[in-house]
Amino acid sequence: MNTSRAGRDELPEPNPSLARRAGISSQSNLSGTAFVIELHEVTQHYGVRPILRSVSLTIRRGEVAVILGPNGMGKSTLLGVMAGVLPPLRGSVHVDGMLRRGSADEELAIRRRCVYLPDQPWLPAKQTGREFLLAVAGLYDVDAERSMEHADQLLDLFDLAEQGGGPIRGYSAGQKKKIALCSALISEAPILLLDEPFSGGLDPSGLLTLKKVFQHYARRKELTIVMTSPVPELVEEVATRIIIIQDGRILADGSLDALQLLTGCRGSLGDVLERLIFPDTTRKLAEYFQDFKR
Amino acid sequence: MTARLKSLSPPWFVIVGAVFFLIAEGFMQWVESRMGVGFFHVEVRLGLVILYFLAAFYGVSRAATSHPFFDPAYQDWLSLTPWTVAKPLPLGPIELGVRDAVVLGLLIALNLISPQRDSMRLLCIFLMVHCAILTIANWWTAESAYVYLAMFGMGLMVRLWGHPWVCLGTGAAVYLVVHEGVWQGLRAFPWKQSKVLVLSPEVAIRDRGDKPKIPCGWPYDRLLRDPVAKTGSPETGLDALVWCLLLGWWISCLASRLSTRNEAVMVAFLSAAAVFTISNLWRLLLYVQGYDTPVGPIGRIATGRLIIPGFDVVWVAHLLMVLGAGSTSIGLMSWGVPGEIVGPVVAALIAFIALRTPPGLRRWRLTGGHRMRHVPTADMTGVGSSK
Repeated sequence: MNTSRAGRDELPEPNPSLARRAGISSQSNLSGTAFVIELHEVTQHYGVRPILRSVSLTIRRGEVAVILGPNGMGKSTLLGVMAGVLPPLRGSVHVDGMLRRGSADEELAIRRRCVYLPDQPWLPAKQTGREFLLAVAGLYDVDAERSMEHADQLLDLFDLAEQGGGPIRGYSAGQKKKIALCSALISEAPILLLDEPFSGGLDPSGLLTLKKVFQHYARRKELTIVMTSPVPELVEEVATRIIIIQDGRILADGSLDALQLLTGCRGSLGDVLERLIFPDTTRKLAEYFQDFKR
Repeated sequence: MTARLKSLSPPWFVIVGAVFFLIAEGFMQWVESRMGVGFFHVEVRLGLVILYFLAAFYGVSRAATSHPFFDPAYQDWLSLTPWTVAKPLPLGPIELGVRDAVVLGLLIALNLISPQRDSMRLLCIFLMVHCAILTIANWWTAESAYVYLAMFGMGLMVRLWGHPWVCLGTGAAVYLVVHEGVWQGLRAFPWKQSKVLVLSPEVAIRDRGDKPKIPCGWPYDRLLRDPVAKTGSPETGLDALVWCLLLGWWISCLASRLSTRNEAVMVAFLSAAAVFTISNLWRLLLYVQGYDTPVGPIGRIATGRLIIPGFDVVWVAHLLMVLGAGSTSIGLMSWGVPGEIVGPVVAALIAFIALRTPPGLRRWRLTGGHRMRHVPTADMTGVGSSK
């Protein structure tokens, strides 16, 4: 069920302003390279434990792809390889047609097009939230006036308007997560790689806001977003593509409809996931309640 | 006439220093008149130390207060005026003049009071410190050749310290080279922003719209800031070579000042050992801190991938430093080259290997086969951590 190159013609026309910001100059490049991220036979292991086993994957422009799977199955490693913080021990990663860690100039160009937010980023403790956002925007060469306006809007959107002027060390866990997410958005990079964006103590309002933001981008197809999540319920409404990973291999890959078709289950993503990854869970639960009646 | 005299008067610290000198020297001579000459068993009298210090401080002050490079506000103002190098600098000339002769003459006159006379060395100290400060400005504003020549000349002054007149003559030659560099640097005024940033980042950010260097934390700084960060290492191979040769030269010059040959050999080799240690630590810190091996030793053995070329290339420099230091020392010693020469040569070689062995830092950080890791620091707070 891996995405095929045949689907290239169905792609929407990318936003030219985003393309300019991303540093893509020619129109032919935009329309010619449908795959923003391409992984070929990527293998990764920590010590003797294999994490990724010959993973091949392509992400198309404008997709909101969610990597789902149980804990310790390689979701974050896969995202780290895409983000360039981990080198694949075998295989290759291309972003916008450029080989990751291939040449210094191309790697820097890739880094300027991608924002990678790990599940536990580290933020400057002494800076205020607003200063931090403006500094990140500066790193990505966003116009200063534009980023100031954007920072105010993001702080307001994530209910950080009051805290935005205070040092980050005084923020709660959820507020730190929110400001980190704001930093990814203010960069205006065309590719967002987010490791468990819904975790880290976000309050219901933060979860809803983030979901709406992703849904907006999924509709507009302006940004390519790849994120990981262990919880299917949170990402069901935002994902245009779901990649299920288990034991370092891609178990299934496609839209929710495609996965429902594959499993013969018309239920929620959680139900689909249960059929795919945890087929024994329902049986085990039944046995448990039967054996230990109260 | 009064104004002319006022302009020639020594700065306040020289007058204060002179008073201290008179008190110290007066006290010592009074004690000696009662207790006998030689009562104070000192190699250098306190009065002379004060004069050395005054000569050095005046050398620093004279360079730092006259050269616009050291005063960002002066520099900014000057850049708004129609000033060119053909016109005199508004706040006074950089080159030495009558007032400097008066000050140095005063120091020499004071030295004449003391039984321990060392006028030539007072002038040498002044010239060396003055030239060293101006050389810093030249590094940022003028051609590197003036800096290299000055560094070589100042090393020669150290070597010739025992011959005050020759040392002073060398100092005068260094002064001419340095001032040619100063003139060349001023001709290129106003200087580029990056050069101003070194001394006054706040002014550069406020007035010139430079990007503030506010930290962005992990992973932003690691991914986008580290690869383009300036480390201060020489940009070209030739620059690196000259710096390393100068390092060896200075070690040799300093070792030559020691009283016995054994001491000189020992200092030369200790310096080489220090350069070896610092070079290895410096490379480790820059290349490996936060850039880990993708597979640890146990994983390598278990998977049979003992060498991971993309990462292990980082160890080549360290290996070369060990091999280069060992083979050069043994080779030169076996040819009968004196130890006080072998030490500086080895130090220069090690420094050159550390600076120039591939991969370059930018290339390594962008394309190396490493696993990036956050290095916790006190000024960072983690999402999802209690810190």
